[in-house]
Amino acid sequence: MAIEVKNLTKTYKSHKKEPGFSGSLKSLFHREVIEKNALTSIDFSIGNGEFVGLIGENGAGKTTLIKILSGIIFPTSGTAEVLGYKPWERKNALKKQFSVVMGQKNQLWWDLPAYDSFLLLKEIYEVEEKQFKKIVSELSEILDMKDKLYTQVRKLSLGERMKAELIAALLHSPKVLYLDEPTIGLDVLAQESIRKFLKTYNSQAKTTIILTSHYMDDIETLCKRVIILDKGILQFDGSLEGVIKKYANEKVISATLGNKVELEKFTNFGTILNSNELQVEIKVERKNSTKIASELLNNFPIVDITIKDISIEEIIKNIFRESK
Amino acid sequence: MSKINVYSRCVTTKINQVFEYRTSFFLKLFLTGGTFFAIQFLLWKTIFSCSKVSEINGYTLEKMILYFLFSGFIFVFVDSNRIGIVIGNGIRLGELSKFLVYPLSYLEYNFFTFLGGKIIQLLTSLITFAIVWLAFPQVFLDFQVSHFQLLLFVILVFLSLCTNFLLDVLLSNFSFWLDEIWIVIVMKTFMLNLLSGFIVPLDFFPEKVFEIFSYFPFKYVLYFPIQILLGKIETEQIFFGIGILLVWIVIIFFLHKLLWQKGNKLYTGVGM
Repeated sequence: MAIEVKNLTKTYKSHKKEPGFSGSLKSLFHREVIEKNALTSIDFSIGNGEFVGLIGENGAGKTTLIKILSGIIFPTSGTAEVLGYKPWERKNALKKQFSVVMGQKNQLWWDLPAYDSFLLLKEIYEVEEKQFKKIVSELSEILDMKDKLYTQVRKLSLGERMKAELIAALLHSPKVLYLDEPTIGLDVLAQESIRKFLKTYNSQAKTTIILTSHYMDDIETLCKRVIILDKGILQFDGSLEGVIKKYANEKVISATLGNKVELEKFTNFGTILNSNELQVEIKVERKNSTKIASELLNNFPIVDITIKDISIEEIIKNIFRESK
Repeated sequence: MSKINVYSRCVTTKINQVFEYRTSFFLKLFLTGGTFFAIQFLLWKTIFSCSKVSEINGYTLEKMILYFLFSGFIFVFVDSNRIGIVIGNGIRLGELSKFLVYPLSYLEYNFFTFLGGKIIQLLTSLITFAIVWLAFPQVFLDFQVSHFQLLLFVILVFLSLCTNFLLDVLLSNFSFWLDEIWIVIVMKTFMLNLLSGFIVPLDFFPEKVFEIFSYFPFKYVLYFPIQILLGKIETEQIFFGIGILLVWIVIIFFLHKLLWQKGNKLYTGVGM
């Protein structure tokens, strides 16, 4: 097992401040401490080479989990092991085997070309010269960054910077990699090329990867397994198909009509999601979907019909909505 | 020793960064320390000409000018206020996170990048110093120091640089509890300016107070090394000074370790 988490709980303490100046003045003398559970009794384990997606709304505890697994913060109770080490003990032996990429933070020196930062990281992680050169040239080739490595990082575009960050994180060939929203704010093309890169990297280097992202496309293309966190509680852990099976009790039938029909009539079969003159989309119960489809074919002037699962995004939205 | 590689790389990376901004580099070359020196120069010139004495507290005007000239050069080199603010902000804003995952301690990383910046400042100081010497050779008539004392001077200044750095690092730890530590650093700067002899030579203080200063590190940051250059210090006293600094370095280092470990338990890495 690459990562094992048992009964992990993290509580944050903060203090409440009433708004305004009088509130600030009061808080100088008395502060009401509020405790917030960021993670509550989390259990899971991840095998070597797995690519796991971590899903949850803002504040669900994803980043807290990654921070604990990378030893940045200490858990309140419970334990976690990464490659056999407790991360918060911060042993160099572990630090040399993992990497974190945070979409909203950069580790590259802002005023220097990325290559200068790479050279520093090479020494920090004690990467051998030959290995270093090989990795830099390979990765910059795949990510199409060859001629960008000698430009000041602050002059790179957001997408290029992210790619440079990825190379920096992979210089020491980590066995475990945490990606916290690596595609945030990137354009579609940049997102896609990073996704493609991660996919090949994971399959070739056999790196264990945990990815958090708000883009379902990222999760769908990359992760066979997902862990869903909701308000610090583990809601689901399993395959992506499992999510669909467990939570998607509905399917969507969309039909193209030959001529105009009163929409009212479709409400007997399910809820209408979308409709315009000759096109209608209805949500129906999963188990009845084929039966309803054939009934529709018999009763309406239908030219074309398709049955599909509701999108992962829709499912996830439902899960979070239900829990509210 | 593989650590040498990473240390020297920290130093050179910082130097590269300084060189990226040429204008600011060349401006610094001539401006830092210069302004304060000009103020002190005019002030003391007036004091001497009004009081019509040739010596105050054992300082002639020439010696006083030399004092503040040396003070300017050494101060630029040993000053470390910025590092306290930078680390403090790192803790408050969550920048610290990225350093916690490195297999290199944050203290080592900061010290050697800091040293990189200081090497540049040393070079610029030396160049300015040479220019001043060539332009006003008469000021330096009193400047006579043995080679051995000069060597001890270099060691002492390096140690006071380390002390000053560690002191700022120590104070930056308060960010774990206080969040905003700007005021703490300002207070330290104020203390340092007063107690190091930056504003006025320390022998202007009453004798009792002056004696107490000998056991604190501040005196050795400026006043003491300047006195070496002015040829007022016996060699044994320099060894004593070096000893005092070493003791303080050990004390501050362990205090820092203690606060760092306690503080890290509170760190939440906000904004990551």
